[in-house]
Amino acid sequence: MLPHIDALYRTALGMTRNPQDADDLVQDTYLRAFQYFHQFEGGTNARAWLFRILTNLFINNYRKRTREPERVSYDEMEDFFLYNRLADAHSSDGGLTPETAIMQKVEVEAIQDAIDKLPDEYREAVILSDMNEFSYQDISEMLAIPIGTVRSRLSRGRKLIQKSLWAFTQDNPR
Amino acid sequence: MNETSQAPVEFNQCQQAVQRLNEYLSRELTSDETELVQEHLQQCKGCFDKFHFEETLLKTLRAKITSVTAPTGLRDSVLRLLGRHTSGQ
Repeated sequence: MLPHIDALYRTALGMTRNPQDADDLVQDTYLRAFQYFHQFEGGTNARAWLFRILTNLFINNYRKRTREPERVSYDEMEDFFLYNRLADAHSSDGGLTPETAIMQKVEVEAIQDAIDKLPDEYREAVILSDMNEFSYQDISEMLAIPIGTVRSRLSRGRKLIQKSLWAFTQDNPR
Repeated sequence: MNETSQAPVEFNQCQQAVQRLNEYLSRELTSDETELVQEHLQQCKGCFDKFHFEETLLKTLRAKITSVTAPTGLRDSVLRLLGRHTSGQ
């Protein structure tokens, strides 16, 4: 089962935003998996099973119970925010195309920073979907939320990621 | 007449495609809907560029984040847990 350890660690790090907590969460996940391995049905998806354990443990033991009220008005967020900014820059200075710019300029630090800044709910949906490619159905079951909520959290989370990536590249020109 | 009636249809098609962007990226659309979006992308360069960018962005994020790996200490701890478990303790 260790083939999944890197993805589990990245997920734990994204969710807890703290290397020590991520370490503990992954160890707790494997401990639970080893204990309940007899309940695991052969032929089913081991990766999804491990992620489900991790997500449950995170929600029950690590996620803050109280949440700050939302302060951003998400309805006003523009579609294609990052594309539009990069396309403007490209047409004004004739530099990199949006796609080349994103591939060259976005570093791991910028991605982690953008994920870290997301509100909890959006972060979980983005990590499970965009980093780990789980289906909306899987995410809905893991987070115990309706599919429609997965959809809206992902949509808002993706927009917020783009804003953060843009801000990061502006603050840290290479 | 023809031109004025075509403009809103175009706009509507772009809007319908954009509404499906997230599910398109997540591969959550039905095959019929995916086909409709792809058909529009073939006809509309504006949407094609934007959708292609969003796909590239997502792939880039996924690819770059894989450089973050589990620390060796964690890997060792998990292997010790496994060893303890399989030895029946």
